[in-house]
Amino acid sequence: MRLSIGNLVIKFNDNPFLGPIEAVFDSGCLNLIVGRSGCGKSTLLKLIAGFHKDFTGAVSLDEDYFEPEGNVALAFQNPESLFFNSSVFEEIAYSLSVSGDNKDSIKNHTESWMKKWGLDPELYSNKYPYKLSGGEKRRVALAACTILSPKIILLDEPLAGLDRVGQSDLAEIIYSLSQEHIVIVVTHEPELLMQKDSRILYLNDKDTAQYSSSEFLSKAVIDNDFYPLPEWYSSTLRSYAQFYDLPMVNAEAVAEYLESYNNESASGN
Amino acid sequence: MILFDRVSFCYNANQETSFYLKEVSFSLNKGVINGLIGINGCGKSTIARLIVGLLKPTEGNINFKNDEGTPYYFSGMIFQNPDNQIVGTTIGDDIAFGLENLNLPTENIEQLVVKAASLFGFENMLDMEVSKLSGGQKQMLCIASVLALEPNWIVFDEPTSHLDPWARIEFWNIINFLVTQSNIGIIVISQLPEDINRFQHITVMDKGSICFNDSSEKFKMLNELPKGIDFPEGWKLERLLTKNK
Repeated sequence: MRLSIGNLVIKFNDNPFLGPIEAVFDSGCLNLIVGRSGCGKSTLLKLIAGFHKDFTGAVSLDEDYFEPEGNVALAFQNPESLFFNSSVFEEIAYSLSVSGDNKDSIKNHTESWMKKWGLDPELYSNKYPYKLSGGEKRRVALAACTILSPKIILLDEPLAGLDRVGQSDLAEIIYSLSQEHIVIVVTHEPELLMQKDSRILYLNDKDTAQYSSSEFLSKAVIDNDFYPLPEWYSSTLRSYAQFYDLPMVNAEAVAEYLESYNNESASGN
Repeated sequence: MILFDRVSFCYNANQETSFYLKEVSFSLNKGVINGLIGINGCGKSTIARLIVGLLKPTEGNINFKNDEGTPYYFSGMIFQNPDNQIVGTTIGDDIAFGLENLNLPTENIEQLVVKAASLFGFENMLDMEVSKLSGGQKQMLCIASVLALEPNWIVFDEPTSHLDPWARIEFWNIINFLVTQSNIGIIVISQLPEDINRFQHITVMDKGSICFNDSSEKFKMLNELPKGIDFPEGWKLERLLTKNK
């Protein structure tokens, strides 16, 4: 599945705000959107979801005109602030229960979706949503937003405000979700979500462009103002940045990269 | 210096949701970035609220030493989400709000507002609506509004979690400025490994007790980390590279 946006200009009150944007978002890999606060990241998600209608250009799904209708889910920032049910099960099953399906099929569907989000139905179904930890609340909220299993899943800052364990658990789930859905994530922590095959859409009023992970990392390592990656990563890899095959942003990957690079240059001598 | 002397505190005693802080004793000094870390529900925010006076200890004392010379005692707090803390409609109104509540003369308020605003480049933007500010600028405005009150200490509760990476750099520049150029004590609560990298003194809490309170150099040398705490990736890399040598 591929969602494409072509020659897209986001407008406010008919005035151009950002664009033109060219980008493709595929299922099978994770699609990230990064940029400064206020640059239009969240608005782009709302536009894809059909809430922001002030734009010109085209959005298409697998070459067809894309009509956002029942095929897309958008989770806003801090989605757990919208809990309104007294148990985790009711919260997650809500959209199904209003669809009029029979009870058994709702139960089966909800329980298998909960497992996908790392929420064991036996442990979590009857819990009160507000008594969960930050990471658990976030997973319940995102499971509830996506229970109808739409083709396109849009997440706005899903990792913000979670502790490290919560972040890495959720990052894993989001990645596995991207194998079957078109998942587009707005984030200030691309380094925690990025995989070798991820695509990064960099939004900026001057140089909006879509990059592969390695292009993005090289560009950011060379120019800290383009995108400030963690200091330890940029300073360690600055002299390697021209090679376009930089490792992912974690200690193990960087150590392995440095080792293999040093071995190669030693054998070359 | 802040000295916690056998401080106890409890929420919702004898209920399922009760939480106890048990005879906690430790001290924090000015002139360094103090980091307060620990998993959700460990008591970090309780410590923060005790320091700024939003909570009172059930037992024990919190003493502030060597803070003479300030006209009144005050510790400020910067909350996680700047939108919850901004009360003015313009930058100038927001900075003036706390000062007006102290019933200071108007001329003094005007001077103090300009002084605090100029630290953040806001001096020519006092009439600007706060809704026009970016997330990072809003955070800076909250800090300016607290600084205008000339506090002895400022506690920052997960200040970087809502900022973009560019604003995080600005934030840490401000913190470094305050620690080196002012007499204000700084405490930062954060769970993010990249923030731990910036701390100079680290206090770790676990289930209402202090389980580590020492310099970041000592913390970095720990072989076993407290539960739920992760080292910054940069420290992990240093370890991996020394091991591979």
